[in-house]
Amino acid sequence: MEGPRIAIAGLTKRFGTVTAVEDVSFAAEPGRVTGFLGPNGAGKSTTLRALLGLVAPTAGSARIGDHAYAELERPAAVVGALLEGAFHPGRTARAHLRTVAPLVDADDARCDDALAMVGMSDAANRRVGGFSMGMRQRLGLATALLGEPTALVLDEPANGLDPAGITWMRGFVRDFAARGGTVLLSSHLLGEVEQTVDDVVVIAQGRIRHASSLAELRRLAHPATTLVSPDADRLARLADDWPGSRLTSPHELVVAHADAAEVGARAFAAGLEVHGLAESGETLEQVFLRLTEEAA
Amino acid sequence: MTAAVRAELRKILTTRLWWALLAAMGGAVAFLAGALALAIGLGGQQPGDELTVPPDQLALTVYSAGVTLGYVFPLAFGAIIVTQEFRHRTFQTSVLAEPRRTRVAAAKLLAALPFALAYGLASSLAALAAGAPALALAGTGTMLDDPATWRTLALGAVAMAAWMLVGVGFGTLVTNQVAVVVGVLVWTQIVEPLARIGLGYWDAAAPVARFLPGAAGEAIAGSSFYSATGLSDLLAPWAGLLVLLGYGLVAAAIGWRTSFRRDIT
Repeated sequence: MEGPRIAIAGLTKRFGTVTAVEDVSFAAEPGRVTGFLGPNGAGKSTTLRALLGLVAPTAGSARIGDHAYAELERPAAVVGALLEGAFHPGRTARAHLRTVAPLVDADDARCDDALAMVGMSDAANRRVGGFSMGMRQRLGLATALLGEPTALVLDEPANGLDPAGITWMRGFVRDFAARGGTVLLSSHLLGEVEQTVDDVVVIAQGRIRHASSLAELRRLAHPATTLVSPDADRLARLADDWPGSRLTSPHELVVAHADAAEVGARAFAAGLEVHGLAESGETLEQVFLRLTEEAA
Repeated sequence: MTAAVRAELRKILTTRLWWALLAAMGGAVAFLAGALALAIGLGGQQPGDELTVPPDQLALTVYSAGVTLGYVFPLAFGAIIVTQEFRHRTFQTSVLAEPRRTRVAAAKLLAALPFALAYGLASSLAALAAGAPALALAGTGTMLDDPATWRTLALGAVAMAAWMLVGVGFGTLVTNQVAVVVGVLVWTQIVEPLARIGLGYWDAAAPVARFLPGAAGEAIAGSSFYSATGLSDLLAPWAGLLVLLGYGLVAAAIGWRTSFRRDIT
C-alpha cells in the first residue's frame, strides 16, 4: 500500500476570541508513524479535526495527498480516523459499522473482518452501551479501518487501553506503517508512543515547538552528570557555587551541561569524597517537557 | 447519494426507536379513537350537552384521531433521528464518511420518507381498527360505506407523514434532543391546544388559528375534534399540507444554514 502524504500548512483556528492553534505547519510521511505530541489543551484535537474537515480553519490548509479531506470522493476509504468515541449506545458493534459501511463501499463481510482485526468478533452483537473504554477504542479503530484506508489519523489512540491493549495498538500501527501506510497519531505522553513513532511534532499553546525524527529529538537531550557524595555540607556548598547544578537529595548533585571529567575535577578541587560519578543525559520525556514549557 | 440514504436507513433500523414509537403511537391512537367514539357517541346523546356532534362528523373525528392527537409521535420520531446524532456525537462519524453535509441532511430527509408513510398508515389503521367497533358499540354509524371516511383515513395518513418531515426539520434546527422533545411536547400538548381554543373565542383572531401547525395538519385530513365541535375551522386540505410542510422546510433550511455547518469539536 502507498499512503498519502499528509501536510498541514499555516493552519490557524480561532473559536471566538480564543486562538486554539496558530500558524501550524507540519507533514506526516507515508511509511512512517508521526507522533503529534503536546499537553492537554495544546491544540492537537483541533488540528486533527481541521485536517478531517470537521472544523473549518480560520486560515491555512490541510491536505491528504493533493486534496483537502472534504474534496476526496470516498474520504473515509482513504483516511481512517479515530477520534474520541462517538457511538449510539443502543447499537451493537456490528450495527454501528453497518451504518458507516455504505459510505466506504464495505459489505457485511468487511464489517466482520474489521471487527476481527481489532479482536472484537465475540462482541459483534453486543450493544455499545455496555462496552468499556478499551472496547470503544477498539470499535473506533474498526470503524477507521472499515474502508481499507491507506492513512490513519488517530487522536489519543492509547486512551482507555490496558497495557496489553497498548502493546497491541503499537504493533498494529507499526505494521500499518511498515506496509507503506501513513500514520498520524496524537498523544499527551511521549513515553506512551516513544516505541511507536518515527517522527515527532511537538505542539504547545497552539504553536508547533519542534518537528523532527525521534532520533533527532534524542540528540536534543542535554548532557548531565550525577555526583554522589556522603559529605552533604561540601556538596551543598558546591551546588551553591555552580549555576546549572541541582541537588536531587542531600547526597546527590545533578549538573546540567557538564561531563564526568569536569564534575570530577571540581569535586576533587573542593576536597569532596566521591562515591559515584555518572553521565546521565536528560530523558526523552524531560526534553519533551522542556520543549512544551519553553516560552513561545 | 444512494449510499448516504442507505447509511441513514441503517441508522434508523439499528436502534429500537422506530418500532418503539410506532407501537406507542398505534396504541395511543387506537385508545383515543375508541375513547372519542364512546365518549361523544354515548355522551353526545344527552340533551343539553354543549358538544353535540352529528354522526357523520363524529365518525370523521374518530377516524382522524391520529392527526388530531397522535401526531406528536411521528413529529418526535422525525426530530429524534436527527438530534440523536448530535446527542451521541455520531454526527462526527457521519460527516467523516460524507463531508458534504448538505447530502447528509438530504439523506436524512429521504430516509425518513418510508417511515413517514409507515407511521401514517399505522395511525389510520389504528384509528379504523379501534374507532369502527367503538362507533358501532356506541350505536352511531361507523360510516364505513361513506367515501368521506376513506378519504379522511387516507389523507390522515398523509398528514401524519407530513408531521414526520416537520420533525426532521425541527430536529435539524434545534439539535439539542432534550430541548426538541420537551419543546414538541409542550407545543403540541399545551400551547397549541390552548391557543386554538383561545383564538376560537375571539372572532378577529380566529382565522390565524387555522395556520397553526396542528390546525394545518388536521386540515389535510379534513376533519378534527376542534372543527367538529365548532371551536375552529380549517384550511383546505392542500393548503393545510403546504402550510405544514412549510413549517418543516423553513425549520430545516435554517438548521441547514446554522447547526449543520457548525464546527464539530
